[in-house]
Amino acid sequence: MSQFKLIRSSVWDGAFPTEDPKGRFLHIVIDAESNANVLSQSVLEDLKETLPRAIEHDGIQAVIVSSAKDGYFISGADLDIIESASDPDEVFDQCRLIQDLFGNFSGFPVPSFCVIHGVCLGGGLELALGCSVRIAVNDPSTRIGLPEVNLGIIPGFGGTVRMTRLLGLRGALQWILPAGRMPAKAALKRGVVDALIAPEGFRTLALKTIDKMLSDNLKSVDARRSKLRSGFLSRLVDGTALGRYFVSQQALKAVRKKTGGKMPAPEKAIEVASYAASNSLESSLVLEARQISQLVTGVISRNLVNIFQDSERSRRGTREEPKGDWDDGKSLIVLGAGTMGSGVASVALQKGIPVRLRDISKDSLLSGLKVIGADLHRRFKKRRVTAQRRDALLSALTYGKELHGLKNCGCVLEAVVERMDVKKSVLADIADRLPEDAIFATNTSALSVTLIQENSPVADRVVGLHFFNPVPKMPLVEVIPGEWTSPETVGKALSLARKLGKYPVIVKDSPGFLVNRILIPYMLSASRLLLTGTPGPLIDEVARKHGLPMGPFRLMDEVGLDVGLEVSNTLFAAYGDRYKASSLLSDMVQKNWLGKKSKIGFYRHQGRQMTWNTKNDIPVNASQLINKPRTPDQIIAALVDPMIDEAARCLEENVVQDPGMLDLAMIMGTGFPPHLGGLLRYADTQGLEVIVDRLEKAHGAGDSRTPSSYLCKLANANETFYS
Amino acid sequence: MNDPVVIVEGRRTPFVRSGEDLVDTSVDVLATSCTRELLDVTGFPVDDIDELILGCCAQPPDRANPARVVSLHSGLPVPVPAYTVARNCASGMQSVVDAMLRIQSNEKTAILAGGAESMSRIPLLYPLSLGFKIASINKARSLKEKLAGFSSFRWSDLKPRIGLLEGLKDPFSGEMMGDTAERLAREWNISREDQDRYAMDSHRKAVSSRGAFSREISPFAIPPHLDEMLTEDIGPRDNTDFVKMSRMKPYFDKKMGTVTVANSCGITDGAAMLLMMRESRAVAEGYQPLARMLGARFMGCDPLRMGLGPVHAMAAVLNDAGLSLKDISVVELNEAFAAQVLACQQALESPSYSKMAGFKAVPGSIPEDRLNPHGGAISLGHPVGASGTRIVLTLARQLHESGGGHGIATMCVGGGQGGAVLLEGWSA
Repeated sequence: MSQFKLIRSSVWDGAFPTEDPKGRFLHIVIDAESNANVLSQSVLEDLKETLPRAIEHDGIQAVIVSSAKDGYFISGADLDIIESASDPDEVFDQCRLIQDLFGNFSGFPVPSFCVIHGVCLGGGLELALGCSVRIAVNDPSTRIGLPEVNLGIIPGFGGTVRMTRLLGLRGALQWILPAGRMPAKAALKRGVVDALIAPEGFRTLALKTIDKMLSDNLKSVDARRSKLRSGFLSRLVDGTALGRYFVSQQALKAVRKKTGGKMPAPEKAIEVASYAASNSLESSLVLEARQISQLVTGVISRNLVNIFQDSERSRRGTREEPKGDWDDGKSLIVLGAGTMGSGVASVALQKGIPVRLRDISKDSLLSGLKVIGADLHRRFKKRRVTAQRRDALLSALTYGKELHGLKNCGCVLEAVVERMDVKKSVLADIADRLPEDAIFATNTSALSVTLIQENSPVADRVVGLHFFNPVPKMPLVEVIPGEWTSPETVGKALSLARKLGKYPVIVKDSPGFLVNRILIPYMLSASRLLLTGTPGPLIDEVARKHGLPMGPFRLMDEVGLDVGLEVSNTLFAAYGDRYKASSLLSDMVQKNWLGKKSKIGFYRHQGRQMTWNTKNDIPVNASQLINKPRTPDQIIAALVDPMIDEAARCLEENVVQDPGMLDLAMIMGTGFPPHLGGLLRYADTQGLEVIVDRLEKAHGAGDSRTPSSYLCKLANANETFYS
Repeated sequence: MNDPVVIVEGRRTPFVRSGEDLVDTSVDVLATSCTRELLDVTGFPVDDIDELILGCCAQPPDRANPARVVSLHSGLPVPVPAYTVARNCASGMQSVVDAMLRIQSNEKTAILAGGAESMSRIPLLYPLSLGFKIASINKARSLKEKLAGFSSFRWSDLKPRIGLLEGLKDPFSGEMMGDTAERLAREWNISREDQDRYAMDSHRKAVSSRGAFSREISPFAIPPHLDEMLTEDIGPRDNTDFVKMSRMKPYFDKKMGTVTVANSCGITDGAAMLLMMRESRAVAEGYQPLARMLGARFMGCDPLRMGLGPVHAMAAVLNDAGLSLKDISVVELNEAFAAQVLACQQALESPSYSKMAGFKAVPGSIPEDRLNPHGGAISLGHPVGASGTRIVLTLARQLHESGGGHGIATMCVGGGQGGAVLLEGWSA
């Protein structure tokens, strides 16, 4: 059965209004097999077959495209299409075909109207752009956008070109490059949508709006569109070749600054859009199809799509994971108003969860509140929240020295100092007052959840929730079930993390958990490089150029050397020599050179400026100088190989469920460059044998790390992590 | 009554001089803060609250019913209704009395009752003529009509009135509240020195009660930056200088007057909230309530002598309960003006006035050690809508801490009224 229904307005007896005996309208209703109206291969086939039948209808005044689903117009193209694409020519042909298919919507003898109710992303918006007029339903579920660039591709079903022709170069790039999702109102303001209608009874309202638009032959729609582009600035930059050149150069500069030139997609989007701004529709579409066919078959796009799928798995959950729901009315009690505590409190508050922040020290409580206030005020200044919303959010925050408000809380999250006795006593204090349906989450980065929950009467409701600093920016949360943690508690913790807008990854309760365990070798090998004579700023520069968001020394300064040293000592105790920190770190900690917080570490920090700390006289071991890595590639290998080895050990020990989740965790928790597909996909592309080889050489040169048996086994069998 | 209404627990914000720290904080944010804290402290399930009643005198123009804003922002479920009451200075007492009456009529009811005022944020008022003239210009069709409209503007149309001052005027005579206090000072022969000495005492008592107040104040971080935490009232001064105070110029009657800024209540922002229900229910839920509410009365008096309102209200509430003033161990008499409090004291001693007010025998003045032991509005400040709840809370807490006894919270009301609430300290 076709996934498109053709319905004359005179015969409809379903949800659509029927007061139209003449049947002036032809509805094309999308009702795909998937819940979210995904544009799969079969949907596109059906569309191909439906459109000619639509043209056969006589006596109609307009074609109306809409979705039969609640909350979804079309949520985008099927990612399988991208994944299965391998031959650029084939992709080119297919894109050309779909471009024309969508173009047919405006090729009817009568105008076509697209009624957007619900999610309208990617291919969905491209289809809508094919219609003459777009009408959006002003409902929170309506989200309109072109997120393709995030997946390493450009809108390739005519979207880049048609968007440019509709809005001009500047307007189009504002949609394509940020790859965001806009509410209906913003889409109207920016001209992608021509009219808004209220959500209640929107189908009737849509008909009324269409009738009105038809009555003046769409003149009012055209007038509105040209008015939006008639400003002085628009005419200057969109109307002249020089202006367009300037816009595209500026956009390119901004993109390169952000991506370091690692991502081809935004640059191609700029190229196609600026071509489309001054060339014919046909030739622009050809260029668009050619560019996407290159991108979609490239490795970067494949990596980004894979990561996106992993992240969806984390954000939406899987069927196998433990069930449990966060109750929306419940509050979150945060114990400890330090960096982590106040960070979590701030995020929770902004997501609409009532928060009680508790700290026994008034000063610490106040500094935590300051963080929350500053966060909220910044959002208010940026007009992300209205004054009313800000007041409402502020009202949902309570604070104090005493432990109150337990009766109505869904989760107590402790973020007190990282000491086992303190954590255990906090838990003991609360245990008998913890409501039956509430969980106790401990935000620890190094202590064992099992040890914390041991002997507690509420052990089954204790779970580790490891947030990353700074909490509002880092999307990862490690969810750590201890030995006695019940599945329901894990489910609730997952649900809470998602409610906070984070990506939860379940990690086994083991020293360092997942991300820190893999990240510490990065820092340790960096200091080893430094000790063998490679200049520190060079290492940082090379790492940054490779796409890592922060060089190892900047990272250590940011985290705090004392924290880094403590974590690595914990790991040293657990895993032995491969986590042995160099004396360099402990020397610096002894001098109280702790990084950013003490204004001096590997760098000197003066305000925002950072200069390499030259006072730090680094003892260079002359015998090791011979082996010092010189080329950027060697530096990267020396930094990343130990991480890969440790990641292999984590997989072997089942610290994390699968390689996909590990890669996701490294990207969301450390900012590992997503275009590389994550640590393990990166390793796979390098070839495991090469890595094992390099690790063995490094071991020969004095590194105490030997490649793990699992890594060697894979390498010997010529396998990869993902195979 | 066998099962009286009790005040289970209460919280209030620190009281802060107007125009200082809380100029950006709207009245509902203030009230929500102590309501949330009260709910956290008591752990009373929000689903079981039946109503929220808020006293607020100068309701903000964009909050026609601030109580509803407070109730939803405090996390009360949507079906829980809320309303705002106003009885000028006694708005916060009115809400408590309303709650009492509601609970008396239904044994299951639990109510949040309180008061809040942001005197910093009372708007300026432009004359109505300005609005009419602007409207006529908007309506004008021809250029001539438009010009005529513009030419009708007068400077006086642009002269704002300060809403705060308008609110502090007696609506019958146009006198300021301070003028009525001056009248009492003249009539009852209250010297400037006595007034200043009373004000000094108020500060001294408030300062020494900071510890006690910390048990009713919930800390308040100043929005929107939350960069400063208020934990105590700003008003009370550690070192008041009698000489300096006596040198201050009278504020209302500049030539002959005795009422100064220092011996009147401060203009202040603040909020207070109480949780109230039947005693049986409170005990069943495991609470140790603060006090029982035995009765409450409001009485009218001469608007030009509104400061004597408490005398009338106390007479009424004592007569209802069959008690005499001697049975009352603590009286919280709201200190609108030192002159007004001292006038009440003299009126209680006066056989003719006390008889006129309804006392059967001359009650005599309230012993000093029983009157406002923790200071009052002269030192703490008088956020109009909140003060009524505040004195009830302070009284209830004192009675609870002394393990019982009777107490009266009473206040004068602009426009010539008095209100009084009779409490009994709760003990098991």
